Amino acid sequence: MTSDPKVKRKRIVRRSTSAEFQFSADQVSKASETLNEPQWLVERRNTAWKAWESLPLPTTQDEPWRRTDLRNIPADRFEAKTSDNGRVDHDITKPGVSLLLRPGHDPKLSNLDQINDERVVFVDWAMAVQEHEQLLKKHLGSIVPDDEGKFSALAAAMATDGVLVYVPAGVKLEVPLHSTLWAPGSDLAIFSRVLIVIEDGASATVVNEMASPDGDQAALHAGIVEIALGRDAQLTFAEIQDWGNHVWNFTHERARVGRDGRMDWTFGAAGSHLTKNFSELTLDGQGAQGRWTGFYFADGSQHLDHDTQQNHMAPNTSSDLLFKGALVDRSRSVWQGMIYVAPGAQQTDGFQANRNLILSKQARADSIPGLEILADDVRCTHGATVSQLEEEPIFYLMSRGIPRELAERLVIEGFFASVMERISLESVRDQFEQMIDRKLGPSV
Amino acid sequence: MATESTAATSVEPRKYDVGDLVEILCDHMRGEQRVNDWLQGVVVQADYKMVAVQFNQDVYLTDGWMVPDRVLWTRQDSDKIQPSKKRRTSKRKKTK
Repeated sequence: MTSDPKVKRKRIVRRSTSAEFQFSADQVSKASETLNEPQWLVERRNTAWKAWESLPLPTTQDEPWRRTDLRNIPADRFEAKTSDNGRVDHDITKPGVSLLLRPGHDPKLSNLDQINDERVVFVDWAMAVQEHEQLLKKHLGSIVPDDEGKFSALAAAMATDGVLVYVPAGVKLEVPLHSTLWAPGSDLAIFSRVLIVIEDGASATVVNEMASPDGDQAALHAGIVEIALGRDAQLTFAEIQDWGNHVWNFTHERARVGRDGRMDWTFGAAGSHLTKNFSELTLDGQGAQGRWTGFYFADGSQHLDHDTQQNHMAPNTSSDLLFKGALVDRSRSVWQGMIYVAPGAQQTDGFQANRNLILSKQARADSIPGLEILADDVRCTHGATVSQLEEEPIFYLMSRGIPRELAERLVIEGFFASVMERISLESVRDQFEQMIDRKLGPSV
Repeated sequence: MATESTAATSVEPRKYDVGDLVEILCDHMRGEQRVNDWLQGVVVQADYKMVAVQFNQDVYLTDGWMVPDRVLWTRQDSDKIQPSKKRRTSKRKKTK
């Protein structure tokens, strides 16, 4: 007599988000009061708050969020408050002019005298509101609308920390500007804004870093990055996301490049518990160029989700995206990229490539490239790979006396070499290499 | 743009460079016996990270396999490489 095989099913318990965010309209008013904002900014915040309240929390039913599940977000724990003591464990000695932001603490600006033109603005958000209201009025929300997403609305309503960079027409800024948002603490909610305006014929190099040490309990960061490049303007922009492994990180970023402008955007992510990042590079003017380099390395149970979009809105524009990532342990990455070519944007070159290296059996990478081309004289390519370490180069290295562990490390470093070569800033490259070292453990 | 260096390897200091006489801690033959000791070789390739050292006798991996072409690789900062304390071991014949 045969009995039916018994199938044991592992019961997966998924908690639905019953917890509610505890933010209130009073906190929005308090943010405005803290910065002593003019009425138009107060109204902006209130409108953004209404958008936050009306927009539903994204679910996996929404296409952009299909692979990022927020059901376990401990929403009721986050509190808009001052970050832990002002002590900075992070290395903030950076070349150039540096601005250190710590939520609830005074900002620290160093080497400002290195800026060779006094019309250049590099200030924290409070100073921007007080002294550069017209710049904010002109540009704030013009690139990333406050209500673009649930979390952009939250950031727009609550942000009191941020950076304003303004380089007037024709000014070639020699020295790099480096801002660091350092926010240690648990049960904490951090909101930030970055607004960079590079006018016609001007050029600058800006590094924006967000970091914290690992925390015991969850924390939240919601941020908006807006970048406007004028005609013939040039910007080298590097972002470093190095949040502690307790941070739920949500960002909306967009750069708009004018005629013959050039944007070199570098993006590195090694931190956070979960990241959902929407980034867009919009080439608005004829002849605009964009180069986009991404690096990510996840371990533990990290979940890094990057959504990129290259928009070619005018003829003779070119964009070149290369994102490379490695994953260990049970970590997961999602990269979803799209090249959009608008009708009439002829003679466009658009490239995108995403390469992933999976270093453990439990890690997973989802890579979804996409093209939407509405012009007929363009050159666009896309490619995505997910691979594991190849035995052959490891064997070759071992045949020359290199121990296996070191051989694997060298192959991983080699995998990222093409990304590192595209990064013009040595300090950023060094920082990315340190991130790789940290993820792989002590050197053999 | 930025005042920083833009070349990937321009400022990386190199401890060892091509032509340097070095010693590597490796398996090799001394008389009839295989030993693990310092052996002199010459750097034939070097970058900011790695060094390739050529020997004039057979060298072996610790699991016994002979190393192809007698060339071993090591990291610039490895503790298994050091500058040679001796002069060149191969003596040239003097012509009278």
